[in-house]
Amino acid sequence: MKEFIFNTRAYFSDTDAGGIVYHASYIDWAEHARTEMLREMVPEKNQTELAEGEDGILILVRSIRIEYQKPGFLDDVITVHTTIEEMRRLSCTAHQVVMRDDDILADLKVGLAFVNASTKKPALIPDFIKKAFED
Amino acid sequence: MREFRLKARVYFSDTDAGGIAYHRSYFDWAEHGRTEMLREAVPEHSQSELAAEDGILTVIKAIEIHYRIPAHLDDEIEIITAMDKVQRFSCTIRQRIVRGDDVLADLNVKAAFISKATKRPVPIPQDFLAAFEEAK
Repeated sequence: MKEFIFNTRAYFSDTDAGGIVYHASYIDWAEHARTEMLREMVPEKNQTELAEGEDGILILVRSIRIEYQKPGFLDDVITVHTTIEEMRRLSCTAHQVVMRDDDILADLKVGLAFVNASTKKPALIPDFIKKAFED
Repeated sequence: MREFRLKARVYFSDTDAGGIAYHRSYFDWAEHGRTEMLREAVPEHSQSELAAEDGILTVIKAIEIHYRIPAHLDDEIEIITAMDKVQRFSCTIRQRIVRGDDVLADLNVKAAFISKATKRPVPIPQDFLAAFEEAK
């Protein structure tokens, strides 16, 4: 499946008093990368529009497994590589690798579930999203 | 296993436009829970003193989190932290975020100690090791 690349930078707001990137900042970068991937692959509806109406859906994070390999530092140029590994009826898994040049800083597996925006009950992944990711 | 409990509340800053607590907020709550556990276990040696006097930083090596039930604005939550495994260079901590009897999320956190200068792993300092063994 196609890999999506998202670039960002380690700002002061991402760092902590240890002089390195705070461990939860990787969770934010990963979210930003998944959002931009969705915007590119499914341009017809953004996440606000996806949530609207009776059949509106929300994408929820169900689980994260993150392994930190090297610290990131202030000013680093960060690249997040995202691929959708498994596409099921109600959920999917994203594999994300946070890199600085050729160095892997962190590796994430993110379990995502689709739910109805009003009832919060599990919902089928809409066909147009499935198709966009399978192409 | 001894459990450390920390109370917290869900503020606007923890929530997102989906109307629930944002998934990163659990990482912050868990960090606060671990820090307060550490402060209680080793009261004579804070993390800032460990960095300034010994040049040692505590870092996270891995986290696995499962989200079970969403938290909402104003919820009173508790972060329950327990030491699981203690090794020479790292330790594993189990954490649960609960609201009353409901488990909202559970986490497995692997933490380690590194040299501030070289960023290489160092053995867990003796006083921490002793406190962790006792907390197990």
